[in-house]
Amino acid sequence: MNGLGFRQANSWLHTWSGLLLGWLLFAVFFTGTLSFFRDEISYWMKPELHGSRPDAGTPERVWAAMHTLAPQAANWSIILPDARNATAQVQWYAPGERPTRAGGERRVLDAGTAQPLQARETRGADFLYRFHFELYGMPRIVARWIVGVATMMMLVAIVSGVITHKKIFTDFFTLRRRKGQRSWMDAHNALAVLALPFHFMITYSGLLLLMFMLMPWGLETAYDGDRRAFNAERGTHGAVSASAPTTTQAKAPASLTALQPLLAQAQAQWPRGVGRITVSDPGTTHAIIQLQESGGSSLLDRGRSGQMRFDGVTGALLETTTPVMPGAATATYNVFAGLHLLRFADPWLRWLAFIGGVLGSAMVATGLVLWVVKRLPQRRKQGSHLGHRLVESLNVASVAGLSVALGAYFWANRLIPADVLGRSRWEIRSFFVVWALTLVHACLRPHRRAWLEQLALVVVMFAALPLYNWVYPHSHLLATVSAGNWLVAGMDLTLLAYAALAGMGVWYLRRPQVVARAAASRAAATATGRNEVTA
Amino acid sequence: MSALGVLLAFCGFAVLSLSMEKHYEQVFAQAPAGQRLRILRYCGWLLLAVAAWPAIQHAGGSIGLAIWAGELTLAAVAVMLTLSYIPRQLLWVVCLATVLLWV
Repeated sequence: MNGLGFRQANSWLHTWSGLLLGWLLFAVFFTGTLSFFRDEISYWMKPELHGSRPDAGTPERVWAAMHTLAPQAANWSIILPDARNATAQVQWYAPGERPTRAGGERRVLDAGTAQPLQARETRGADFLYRFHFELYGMPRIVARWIVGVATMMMLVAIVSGVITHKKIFTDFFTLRRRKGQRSWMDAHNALAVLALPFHFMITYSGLLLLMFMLMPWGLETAYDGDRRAFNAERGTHGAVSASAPTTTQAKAPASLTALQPLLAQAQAQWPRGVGRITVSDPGTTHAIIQLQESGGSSLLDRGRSGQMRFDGVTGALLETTTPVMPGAATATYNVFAGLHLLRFADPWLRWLAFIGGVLGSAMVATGLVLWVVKRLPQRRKQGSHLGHRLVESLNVASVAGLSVALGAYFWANRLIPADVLGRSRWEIRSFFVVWALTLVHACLRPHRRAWLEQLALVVVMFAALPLYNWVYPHSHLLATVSAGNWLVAGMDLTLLAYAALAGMGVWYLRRPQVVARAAASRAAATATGRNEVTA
Repeated sequence: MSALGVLLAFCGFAVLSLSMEKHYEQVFAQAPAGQRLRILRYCGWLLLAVAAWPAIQHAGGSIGLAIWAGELTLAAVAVMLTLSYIPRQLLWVVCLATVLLWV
């Protein structure tokens, strides 16, 4: 680093850490941003569920259905519809079965009729969510390490970027248009600086979430390898319910109490209402009904919520639990984990975070483009260069190509018949095959044409998805908007907005002066090339 | 109430941008006189601080501050785009935002 000032050294670090991991970081940012709407996207990908309309009678209806669906079960769990999923999800365990998250029997019930719904087999947005920190098709640990290193480099890029930025305050509101490289630089700076709190928060918290898995040594030493003790102390799994009331009588059949009075009691206390109902030993004298508040009200307690326990036969209130305030270190961890995972319900904050994610993705994308744009004058003078061409192709495939692949994933979700074996795997295969094809395309076509064609494909794919929804009875925009079903309509409108955004990209690339400038530079490049040959 | 926070933050950033000579000239086509820049700067910061209030009122301290940070970003991007595309109309946009505040 001899001869390089502090700022230049940081600039060098920013350029190369950004370029080498930029492609991966863009994919992580992009799929991570979509994961803010994981439930909504998954719901949209199952059109069979779109007719479900919750109302005030839904809990009672589902409650009655459970009596016929699982009269002999040892345990019921009912997740009531909320703003992000309009169906009721129920699960039960047979007597003697260990209640694990994956075990038991599950059904999705229509909130209006309590009839079971059969949705197509899909990973939905869970695939995108998993991909954003575990990638795909490789051992989880390896993938998390790769993403962890990329996240670390992102943090490095953020810090070195701030140091490199010469006029962070005087250029705060500056976006000079139609100035070539200058405009790209301004856009990159603005996207970075204006959303800096979000970028820092999401990167740092992502690192924090990966930390305990990537570097478990401190924890293993302090807790002697007893991870469960650590989790208990940190309070992630909550205190195990203070053992059921010690009835010494033997279990005898008894019918469950009515649900409505219990719900009324809970709703009087909880403004956000009841999110989940669990029943242990339903239909016996040992029955316990537990109601759980939906959502959380603070970032400090990681969205944990209140609980009420009732005697299942008499309906008497046994216990009310309110979330306890955690210690300072746990609270700090919870704030970051809570902000990253965004589990608590607030649509406005979800949208703000989504916008932050879009700005972050755009920041990485403009950074990648900037690398190419900055080196164009040199390339024009010295002719093409394999490394430069490689970066160009990877930029197109990782930025525009990822959107094309996402479009392919959504289209596969719509077009693959419901009875195909391993259906959800075919959806994912479509995603990766199309993504690989966009790289081939980017390598074969001239740089500008590659951008143009892939963005045009994005426009067509995303704009046509809402139109295709007309083949389903409850999913198209006319039905969803007139029924006030914004859960599904919101996704369609966002797809259209994204198509419009890509359309602006196409329009920009087709503008006469841009094309003319590109043609002129190409001519200049060939002219200089010829000169070199004649000389 | 979510709109209130964004509108306040937008006005705050707009006023703050006017406290910078470069943008003041861009909007008014003349150099700022006297203490004007300093007053604009204080007003801008004050508006940004006040913009936190609706979110905290609505969602409590911790989530409210997170919402505030997101709203600041959104508002700053809006001011930047206004200054870039229609700088002379910035005041009109601010007036529009203020009118919306009272509705």
